Amino acid sequence: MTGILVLQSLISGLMIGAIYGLLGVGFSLVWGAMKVINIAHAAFAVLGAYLAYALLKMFGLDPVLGFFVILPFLFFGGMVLYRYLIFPVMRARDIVVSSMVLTFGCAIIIENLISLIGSPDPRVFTTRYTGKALFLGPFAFQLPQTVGALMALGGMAVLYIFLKKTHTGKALRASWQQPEAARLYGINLKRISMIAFGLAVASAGLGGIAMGFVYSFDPHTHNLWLIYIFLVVILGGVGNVLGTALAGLLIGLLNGLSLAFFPYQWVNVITFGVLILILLVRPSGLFASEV
Amino acid sequence: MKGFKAAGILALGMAMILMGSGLSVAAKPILIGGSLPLTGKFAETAKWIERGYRYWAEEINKKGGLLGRPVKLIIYDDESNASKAVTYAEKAITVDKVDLLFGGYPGTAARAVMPVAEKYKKVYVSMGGHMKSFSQGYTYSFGGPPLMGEWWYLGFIDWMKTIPEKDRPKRAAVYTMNNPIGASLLDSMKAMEKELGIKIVINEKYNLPLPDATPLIMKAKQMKCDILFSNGFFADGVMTMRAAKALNYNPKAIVQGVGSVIPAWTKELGKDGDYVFSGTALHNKLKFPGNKKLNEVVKKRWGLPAYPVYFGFGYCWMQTLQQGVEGAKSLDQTKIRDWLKSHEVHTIAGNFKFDKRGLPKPYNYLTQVIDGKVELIWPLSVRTHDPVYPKPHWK
Amino acid sequence: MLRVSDLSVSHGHLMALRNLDFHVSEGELVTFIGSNGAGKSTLLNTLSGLVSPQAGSIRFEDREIVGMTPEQICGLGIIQVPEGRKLFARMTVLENLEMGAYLSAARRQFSRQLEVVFDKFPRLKDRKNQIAGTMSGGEQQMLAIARAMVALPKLLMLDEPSLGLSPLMAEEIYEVIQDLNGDGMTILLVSQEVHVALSMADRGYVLENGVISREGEGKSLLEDPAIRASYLGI
Repeated sequence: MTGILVLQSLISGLMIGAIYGLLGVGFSLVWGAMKVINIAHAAFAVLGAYLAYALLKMFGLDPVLGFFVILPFLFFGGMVLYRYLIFPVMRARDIVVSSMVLTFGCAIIIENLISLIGSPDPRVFTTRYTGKALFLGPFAFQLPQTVGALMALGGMAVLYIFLKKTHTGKALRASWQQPEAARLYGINLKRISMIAFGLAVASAGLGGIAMGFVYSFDPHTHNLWLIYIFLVVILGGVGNVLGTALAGLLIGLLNGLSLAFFPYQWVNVITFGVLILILLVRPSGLFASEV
Repeated sequence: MKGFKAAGILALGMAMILMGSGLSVAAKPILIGGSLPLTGKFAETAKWIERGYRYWAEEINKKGGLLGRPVKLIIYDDESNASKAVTYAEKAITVDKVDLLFGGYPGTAARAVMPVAEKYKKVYVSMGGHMKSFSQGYTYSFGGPPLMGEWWYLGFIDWMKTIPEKDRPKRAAVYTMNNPIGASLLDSMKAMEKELGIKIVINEKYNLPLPDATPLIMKAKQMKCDILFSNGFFADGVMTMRAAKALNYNPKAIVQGVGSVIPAWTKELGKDGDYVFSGTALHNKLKFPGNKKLNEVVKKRWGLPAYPVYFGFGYCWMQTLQQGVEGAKSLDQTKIRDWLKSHEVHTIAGNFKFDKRGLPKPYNYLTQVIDGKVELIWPLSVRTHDPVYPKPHWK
Repeated sequence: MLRVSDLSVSHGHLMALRNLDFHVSEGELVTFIGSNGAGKSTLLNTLSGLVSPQAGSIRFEDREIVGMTPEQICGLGIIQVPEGRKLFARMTVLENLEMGAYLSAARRQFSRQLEVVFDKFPRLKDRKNQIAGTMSGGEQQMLAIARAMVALPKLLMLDEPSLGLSPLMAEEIYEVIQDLNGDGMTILLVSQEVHVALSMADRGYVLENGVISREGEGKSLLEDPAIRASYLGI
C-alpha cells in the first residue's frame, strides 16, 4: 500500500463514518432521554431511503431535495408513533425491554410493508453525479459518497445546534435531565418527547438517504445498519450527540485504517477488536453518557 | 324419503362439479413438501422459486398429474434460517408424511437438509451447497442442476481460450467477498493462471459490507490490472462498478460474481452495468424445450420480459424430480434415485447425466450484460449475442 | 390568594394528606412545618399539579385549579422550587434560567427578569456560562430560586431550601427568602428547620401524618409548648 492509498482508505472510512454517526445520533438521544431502545430506527432509515428512491424514480427528484419532501412525513410519523405506541408503554416497569419488543415489531412491519408495496429487490440511487468523482491531487472523492457524507455532517450539525441553541431544543435537554422540574416550569413532557421522537425518526431518514448514496439497500438492510448504530452509540456514550458523532467518525477511521494496512478481510476483526479494547478500558464508552 | 333422495342427488352433483376439471377424486394426491425462505433476507429469490414450483404443479395437474395422481405442495416458510429449514424438512417427512421432498434455498439451507434427506432416504433435488455438499457421500441428493461456485467461471475460461493470446488480459485484480460463496468463486479461478496465462496480481478478500470500493479500484489502476474480478454480491458489485466508472478505470474486462445475474443489476445500474461478464447454470434464453413457454407464462402473469433465473431453477428441479418418478414408475425413493443415476434427464437448463455424487458434468454458461440484457456468450451452441470485448471505455 | 379546602391526597392505599384546610393571603409568608414524611412535599406537588388530589378544592385567585396540568398551573404563577433543587445539572446557569421562563408569557419578560435576578444574585451573573451541576450547593440553591423567579411567580413555593447546605449558606438563603417577601412576594415555605421558618413566617401550619395539627401566627407557634417539645427539642 502506498501512502496515497492509505490516505484514500482513510477518506473512505471517514465518509462512511460520518453517516454512521448521524444514524447513531437519533438512536442515542431516544435511548438516553426516554430509555427507549428503538429497534426500528434503522428500518426508518431504510424507509427514508426507499421514499427518496421513489421520488427520484417518479419525479426525477434528487434524493437530497427529496429529503425535504420526506422530512415532514417522517417527523409527523415519528410523533404519531410515539403518541400512540411508545407513550402508552412509557409507564411499563421495564421500559427498555418493552420498548425493544414494541419497536422490533415496528421494524418487522416496516420491512414487510416496503416489501409489499415496493418489492424486495435491492435498490441504488442513480443521480446525475453517480459514477463521477472529484479529484483533489491524487485523491478521488466519489461524488455520491461525498454528498452522503456532507448530508450526514449537515444533519448532525443541525441536530446539535437545535439541541444547544433553540428554546425547544433546550427544553428537550431539560426534560431529559430533570423531568419533574421541567414539568414544574411548564414543559409538557409528552409533547416534547413527541417532538424528540419525530426528530429522531427524521434524522434516521436522512441517515438512510445518506447511506443510499453509498450502499444499495433492500427491505432487509436495516438489520445490518442497526449493528453499526449500536456500535456507534455504545462507543459514543448513550445520549451524547457529540460523542456519537465522533464515535461514528472513529469507527469509519478504524474501518479505513484496517482497509489500508491489513488485508481487506481483516477489517471487521480489527474494527471490533479495537472496540472491545476500548470498552474494556472505558466500559461506558469513550465519552460520558449525556443528554 | 323424497327429501333424502333430493339431497343425495345434490351431493352427487356437487361431487361431480368438484371432479369437473378431470381430477379423479379417488386418487390421493402426491404430497411434495419442504421449506423455502419466504420471509427474511432470501425472500426475494425464494418467492420466484416458489412460483416455479407452483407453476410446475399446476401444469402437471392439468395434464393429469404425476403417475396419474394430482400433486399437492406443502411449502413451509423457514424465515431464511437454515436450521429451521432442517426442522421443516423433518416435519414434512415425519408428520406430513410427504411422498417427495422439494429443494430448499439458499445453498446453506440445501446443504443442511441434504443429510436429513439421506437419513430418511428421500430423493432431494436442489441447487446444493457448492462442491463441499456433494462430496459428503450422500446418495439421495441431486444437483439438478446445482449452483456451483467452483464451476462459475468455466464458461469464461473456455471462451477466453478462443481469444488470441496477445489480446487477452495479462494482469488480474481479484477482489472476493469473505464468505463461502466468495471462497467457492475463488476455487473456480484456479485454472485461470494455468490455462489462460493471466497473472493474478491482486488477490484480496473483503468483508461485507464493503465500506467503499474507491481504494480497491485505485489499487487495481495503480497496479495496471487489465481485468477485474469482482467476486461479490449485488451491493458490493454495484459499489465496485461505480467506483470503476468514477475513477475512469478501464480494464479489458470486468467479471462479476453473482450480483449481476439478478434483474436489479440492469434495472438499477442501467448502462453502467453493461458489458459485465458472469456465469449461470440456467438462463431463459437457452434453446432447450420449455424455456419459451415459461417465458410466455411469466410475461403474462407477472409482466416480465422473460423468466427470472430462480423461477427457472424451481421449475427445473421439479422437472428432474418428475422424470425420476416417472422413470421409476414409483414413489419408491431408492428406485427413483437409481433411475436418476442411470438415465439422462432433459430439462430447461440442459440434458444431464448424474454421477455418483449426484452432479452433472461440470458446466457453466458465460453471460454478458449487453444493452441492459443478460446475453449468453458461451458455449457457442447457446450463444444469443456476440461478446463485447474489450470493454468499451466509460463515457 | 390561595384557599385550600378539604384536600385529601392518597398514594395508592395510603392516605398522604387528609382534609387539609388552609389559605395563603397575598404578600404573606406562610410556612408548613413537620417531620420527614409528614406530607409536605406531597402538598406542594399537589398544588403544582404533579399529583392529583382525591378530594377537595384548591382555589387560586378565585379559580379552581384542581384538574389543571402543571403547565397551566405554572402559567397562573404558582411556582415551586422543588426539594433538592432539581436543577438541569448539565446545562449552564443561563440555560437553567431560560428554562425557568419556558412558557411564553415569562419568555417575553425574560430579559427584564434576568436583570432583576442578576441584581439579586450577582454571583449567578458572573457564572452564567458555568454548568449548573458544577457549582456549590449554595449557589445551586440560589440558581433554583432564580429559576423560579424568572417564571413570574405570584405564589412562590419553596421545598426545604436549606437542605444540605452549610449553616452559613442556609442563613444566606433564608435572608434571600425574607428579602423577597419584603419586596411583596407571596411565599409558601416548607421546612424542617422549624425555628427559622416559624420566626420568619407570618403564619404557620404544623403537618403531622398528613393532617394539620396546629396553626397560628409564626411567633405564637414558636412559643407553643407542644411544638417546642416535639420540634425544637426544648
